[in-house]
Amino acid sequence: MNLIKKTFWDATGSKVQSGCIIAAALALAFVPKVSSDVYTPLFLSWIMAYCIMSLSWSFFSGKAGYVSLATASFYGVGMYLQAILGRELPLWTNMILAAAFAFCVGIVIGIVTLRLRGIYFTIFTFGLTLFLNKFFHWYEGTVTRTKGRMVKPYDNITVFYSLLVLFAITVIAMLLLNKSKFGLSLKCIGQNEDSAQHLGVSTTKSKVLAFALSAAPVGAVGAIMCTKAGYIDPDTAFGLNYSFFPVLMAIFGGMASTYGPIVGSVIFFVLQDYLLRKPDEIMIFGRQIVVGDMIIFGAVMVIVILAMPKGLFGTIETLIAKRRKRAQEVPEDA
Amino acid sequence: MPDYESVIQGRGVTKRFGGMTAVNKVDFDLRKGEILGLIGPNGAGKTTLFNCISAYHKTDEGEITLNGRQINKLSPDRICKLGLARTFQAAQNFPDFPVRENVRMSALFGKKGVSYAEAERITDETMRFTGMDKFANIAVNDMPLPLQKRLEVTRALATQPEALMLDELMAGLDPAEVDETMSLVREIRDSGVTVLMIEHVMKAIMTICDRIIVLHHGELIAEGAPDEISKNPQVIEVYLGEEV
Repeated sequence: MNLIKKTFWDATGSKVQSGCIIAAALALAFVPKVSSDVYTPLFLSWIMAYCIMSLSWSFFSGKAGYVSLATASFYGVGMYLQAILGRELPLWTNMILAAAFAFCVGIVIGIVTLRLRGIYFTIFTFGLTLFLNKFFHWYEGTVTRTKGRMVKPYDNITVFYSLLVLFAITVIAMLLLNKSKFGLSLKCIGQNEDSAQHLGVSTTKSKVLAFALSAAPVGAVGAIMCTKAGYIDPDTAFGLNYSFFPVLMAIFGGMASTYGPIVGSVIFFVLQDYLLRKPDEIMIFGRQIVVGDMIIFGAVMVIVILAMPKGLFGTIETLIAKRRKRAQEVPEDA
Repeated sequence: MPDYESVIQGRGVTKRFGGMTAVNKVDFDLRKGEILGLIGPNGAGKTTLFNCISAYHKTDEGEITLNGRQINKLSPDRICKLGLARTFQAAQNFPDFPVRENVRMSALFGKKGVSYAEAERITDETMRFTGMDKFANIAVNDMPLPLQKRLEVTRALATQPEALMLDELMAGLDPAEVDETMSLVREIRDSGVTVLMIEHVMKAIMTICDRIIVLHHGELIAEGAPDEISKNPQVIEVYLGEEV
């Protein structure tokens, strides 16, 4: 217990931070008890799912500077694993299996591709998702002669608590890893890979391990969210949006700290959900114009990214740092 | 049996880029405790040879050994951990980290199994040694060029190397800064680190080097003490018009 306590303090760095995290986790844990609405836990589940995915993405890509579009691949792998094993094994074993399986896929893909730099790596990971999508189409069409699979459903509350546990594990693991030698080696790689390597950072090992580690939680998320789909096929499992959204959310919130992707995911998802549900008509110059939710959504994204290159959380952090600095300077003048 | 002990030994080192042979069958020895100068006109293959030694480039032919162990098939990080550090011609610092954090990364990763506490100690010692301790919290990109170069050396030293390779450390510095850098290089050698340096500033090279090797068109054309080199007719021809 003492060890857990100590690691937790180490991870968060301050009592205020760890207090906030514990409070947030507890508050979340009580939501299904308080709320009578069946939709709320599912809504929060989706937010947590995206939080985990964008956190995982920014753990590797944000630090090491390799933009990965393979998130959907790992998500889809997790989904299919649950779809195949869902009736035989309980959800929590499948979560672990999906995470392990995604980790292994990450290791293989990492070893093959991480010699590629910059845009080539991005293109490869993008292609990987497309390839897996087509591969499963082919496999189902010619080998199993099915189209998609039915999935054993779970109720919203089970899904919610599974994701909450996974979310907590991911946040604490990321906070700890950020401060470890491993996390530092990734930051060095992101700033200057050659320099890092010449100073003794085993860049290939760090990159492959980080890529695989960032795949594991995504696989587990896939296994959980699969149970809410009822039926999956290659297009739902390997949908490209699962690759793009986590990236956008992380950039939107800011990648410099662990909290950025979380803030980004929450606002992004809430905004998207609101825009999807509202009647898609707005008034411009006194005329009623029909606009898709994605038009407004895209415009908001563009404005935020242009105005705040460090993301929402990054910008707020910078503002606070500036104010603190100013507050320190005043007594010197006086 | 030679009367010296080699830290780095190169035999028949060759590097080609397409049809161009940048380094051609070069033999060299870096003797323990010396400052060895590597000179030659532009395009002579000096930096390429450096890159071969630090495994930034793959050597096409020949063998490079560090304390008798072949290193030209290893990765740069392994070579660093074995005790050979280098600087780059253009300083390659980590822009997002302040000065001290830059040095700490080297201390942490430069050798196997360095603990956080040890890394802190090495960082402080190295920064005091090179005089960077006064700039510990400054952002790297806010520093003038001489300090950036000094930081680059500090980072290399923080990996606790046995041998250090310096690539044009004095380029772009004014005479006073060159003098400071010269005394720094001497201090590094006196602290027990063997130095191999590429340099264009002749005054510096002639003053502080124990031995000099000269490359021209990728081939080794002369080797010897500074006064021998300055009298060597072939070297004078290569540097025609330049004061050696």
